[in-house]
Amino acid sequence: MFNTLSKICFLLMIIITSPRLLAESSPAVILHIEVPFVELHSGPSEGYPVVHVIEKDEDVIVLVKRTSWLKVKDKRGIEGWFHEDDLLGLSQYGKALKQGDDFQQNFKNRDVEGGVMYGDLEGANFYNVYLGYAFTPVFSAEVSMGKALGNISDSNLYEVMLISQPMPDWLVTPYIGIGGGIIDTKPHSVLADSESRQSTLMSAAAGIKYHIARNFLIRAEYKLSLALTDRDKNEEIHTWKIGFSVFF
Amino acid sequence: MENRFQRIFLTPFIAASTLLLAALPCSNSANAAEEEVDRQVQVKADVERRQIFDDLLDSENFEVGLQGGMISIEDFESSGWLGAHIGYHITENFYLKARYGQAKGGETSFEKLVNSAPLLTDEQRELTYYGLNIGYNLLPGEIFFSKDLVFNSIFSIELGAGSTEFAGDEQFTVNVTANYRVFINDWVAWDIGMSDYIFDTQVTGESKTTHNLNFVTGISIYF
Repeated sequence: MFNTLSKICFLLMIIITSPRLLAESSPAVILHIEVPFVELHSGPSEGYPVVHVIEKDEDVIVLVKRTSWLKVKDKRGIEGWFHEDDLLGLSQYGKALKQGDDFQQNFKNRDVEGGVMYGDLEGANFYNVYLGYAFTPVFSAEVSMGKALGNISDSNLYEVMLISQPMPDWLVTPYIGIGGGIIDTKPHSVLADSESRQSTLMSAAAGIKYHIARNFLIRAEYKLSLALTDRDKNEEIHTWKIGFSVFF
Repeated sequence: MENRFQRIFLTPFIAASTLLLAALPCSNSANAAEEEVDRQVQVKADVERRQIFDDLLDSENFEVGLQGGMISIEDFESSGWLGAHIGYHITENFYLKARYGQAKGGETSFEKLVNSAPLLTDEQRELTYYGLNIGYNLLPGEIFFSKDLVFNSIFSIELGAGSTEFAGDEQFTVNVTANYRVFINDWVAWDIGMSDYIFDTQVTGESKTTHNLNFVTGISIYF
C-alpha cells in the first residue's frame, strides 16, 4: 500500500515538475497590439483582477487558451489573460484579427455531438448518454445508452436513431427522429419473479435543440417507444427528457 | 400695356426658373456623388479580418483529477473514498464533470450490538458511484501564500446526478458539491471538495432517503 502511494506521489512529482513537451512543439503565435492598451487579468475569467496593461505596438506570445480567454506573455515576461473579444484590437503579421470562433456557424456545421439527458421513463428516473454524427446540417445519426432506475425494476436501453432537423438555421431548432434498439429490464431482487427480460424497441421522437453558448447546447425530447414483447400486447413507453451536449 | 408689363417682369422670371429647374437635378447628382465617396471611405475602414487558427493555439479546456478522502455512508459508518473525474470547461463560468468514486461500507450499529447474521455480504458493502455534474464558477480569486507567492483560486458549486450501487441495489443519486481549487500553475490545481450524495435505500426495511457526506482532496490536471 505504502509502496503504491509513494509511486503515485513520484509520478505526480514528475508530471508537475517536467516541462510541457506537447505544448512547446507547435509554433508560437505572436500578436501585435494595435489599440492604445489591452488589460490583462490574473486569471481566465472576468472575475479575476486586472494586474497588467500592455501598450500599443508591443508584441505578445500566446501561451494557452482556456474557454474564451487567452494567456499571453510580452517581452518583459509579463503574463496575463484577456478575453478573445479583445482580439479585435490586435493584429497578426499586419493583419487584423477576428474575435475568435464563429460559434453560430459552427453550430450549424457541427459534425460530432455528445451529451447527456435526464428525465422520466414511465415514472422511473431515466438518464442517458449519446453520441451523434451529422452527415449534413439536416441529417444526423446517433447512438445512445440509457439507464432507467425505478421502484419496481431497473432497465438498460441501447438505441440507434436517425434524426432530421429540417430548420437548421433557426435559433431553436426542432427535430424528429426514428430509431430502434433493445431494452433490458431487471426487476429488483426483492420481488419473487426476478427474471430479467429483453425486448426490442421501436421508437419515434420529437424535440428541440437550443444553442446556448460556445459549443454547448440544450436539448429537450419526447419519445414514444414500442417494446415488442412475447405477450399478447406490446408495451408503450413514454419518455420525457432534457439535457445538454457539447459539439465539435 | 398689360402685355408690356408681362414681358418685362415675367420673361426674366420664367427664364430664371427654367435655369433653376435645369440646375436642380445637377446639384442633386453632385450630392449623391459626395455620399458615394463617403460610403467608399467607410467600406475602406472595414478591414478584412483573419482568424487565429485554433489548432495553433494550445487550448486547455479539459481536466482530469484524482481524489482521496472519506465518505460517511448513512447507517454504515465512515470509510475511505477514492475518486476520479474528467471535466470539460464550456465557458469561463460553466463546466461539466463526469465523476467516479468508490468506498466500502462498514458495519451498522445494529450488527455490532446484536450478535446476528450480517445484513449485507462483503460484496454488497462495496459502494460505487458514477455520474455527471454541471458546475458553476462562483467566486474566482487569488490567495497569498507569502509576499511573493500568489495563486489563483476558484470556488465552484456543482449539481449532479448519477447512479450508486450499494447493498446489492442500484439507486438514482443526486449530489450537491462545493468545490475549491487552487491553481499551482496554469495546468495543475489542488482540488478540495465537499459533496452530499442523496439516494434512497431499502436496507433497513422501509425505503428512506439517505444523505451521504463526502470530503475529498486531490490534484486536477488541465490539458
